[in-house]
Amino acid sequence: MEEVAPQVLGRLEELGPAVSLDLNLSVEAYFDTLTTLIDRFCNKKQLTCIYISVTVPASTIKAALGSLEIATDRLRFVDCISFATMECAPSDDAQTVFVESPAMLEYIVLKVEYLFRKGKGERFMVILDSVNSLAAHNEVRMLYEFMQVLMASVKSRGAYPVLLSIGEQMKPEVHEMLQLVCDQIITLK
Amino acid sequence: MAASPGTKLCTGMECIDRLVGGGLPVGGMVSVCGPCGSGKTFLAMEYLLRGALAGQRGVYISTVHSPEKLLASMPRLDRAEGDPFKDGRLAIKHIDDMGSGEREDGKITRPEASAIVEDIAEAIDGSKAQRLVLDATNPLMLEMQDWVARAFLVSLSKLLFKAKCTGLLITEGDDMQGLEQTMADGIIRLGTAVRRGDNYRVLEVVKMAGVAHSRAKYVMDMTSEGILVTPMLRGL
Repeated sequence: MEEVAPQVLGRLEELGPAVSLDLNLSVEAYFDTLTTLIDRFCNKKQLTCIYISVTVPASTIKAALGSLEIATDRLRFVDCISFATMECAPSDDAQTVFVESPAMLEYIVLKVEYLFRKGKGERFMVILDSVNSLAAHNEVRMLYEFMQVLMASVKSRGAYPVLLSIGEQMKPEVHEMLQLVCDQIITLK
Repeated sequence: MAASPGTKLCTGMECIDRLVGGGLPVGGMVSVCGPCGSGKTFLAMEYLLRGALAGQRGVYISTVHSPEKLLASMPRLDRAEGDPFKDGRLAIKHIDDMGSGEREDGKITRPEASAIVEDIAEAIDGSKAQRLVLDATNPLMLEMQDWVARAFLVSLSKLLFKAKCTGLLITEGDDMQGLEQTMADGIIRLGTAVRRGDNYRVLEVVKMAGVAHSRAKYVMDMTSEGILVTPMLRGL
């Protein structure tokens, strides 16, 4: 497997902000991709990273990054999974806002908008982790409409929109939908 | 001088201004209705707080909770400067503490209804308010016969228009056939939509005089940045 970081960083630099990018990755490349995006891109460029977590609770991601001594102070989470598992503790973590269910797509849009407003004047990257998990909770037609609204909102803020998808686990109709809503799809080798 | 027809009050709340083409009619009477927990009081408070931020004074008249209780549960907006209730930009009053006082027999007669309108006029005049909230209308309407309620609302509507004060009448419940809705210049309905077992807070503009407003349903969220809305997805 080629190194993930040069592929991801090279493409982000080339595309710039307001271009929706789907990173189609393998399970093995997942964590490397994440650390590249957060540490080597957002932290280096001083971007605030809005991380929409649908697969893994925000606390787990934060702890994993912390164990690698990656700074997480620029991270803001929209955690769509902890409420469903009753593991959310809103008062404990000022960096995280919760959505009650990954099926409540409008609230994801609203929480992202809220974090944009809270960080007035900051520059952003928005990571959606992952398309596969959202597709497990939502019909493709609904997901398509959601993606269009979310991407329009993120692009209008001049942020970097990045979607993570695991190609080997994806249904063909979800892949088709991604081709419609994304400006670029990169398969990480 | 009374408000000129067609002029708009930019509320400073994007969720409202965007949906009604820039703002509410100046001197208009707008009904905000919805069931318990739908966000009516939050919306009303934000309406006044945004006004205060823009240098517009406002009055909140409660018919239910005491001012102390309302102030304790006041939404806190990011970027709000100072406390507009302490520095006089906003006033909060309970209807029973105003000039005409509490009515003992549980019925509001025509003269008593007129006295309430005079109290409201005094409150608007006294604080030079450009924004008014009456929360909620139901306790008053319940104590009035229909013809008295109608006369009360007509007088209130005239008063607001003359004073160029834009008022929100908060009404508990889903009934769109109430007198408040019939006589209002605009209706904003808050409620709950259920999709696949999940409850969504929703907002829709049912009517707004003289404006080609949105008729869509919007999902709303109450945050420290105020009420945020996004169109409800259809998945078609």
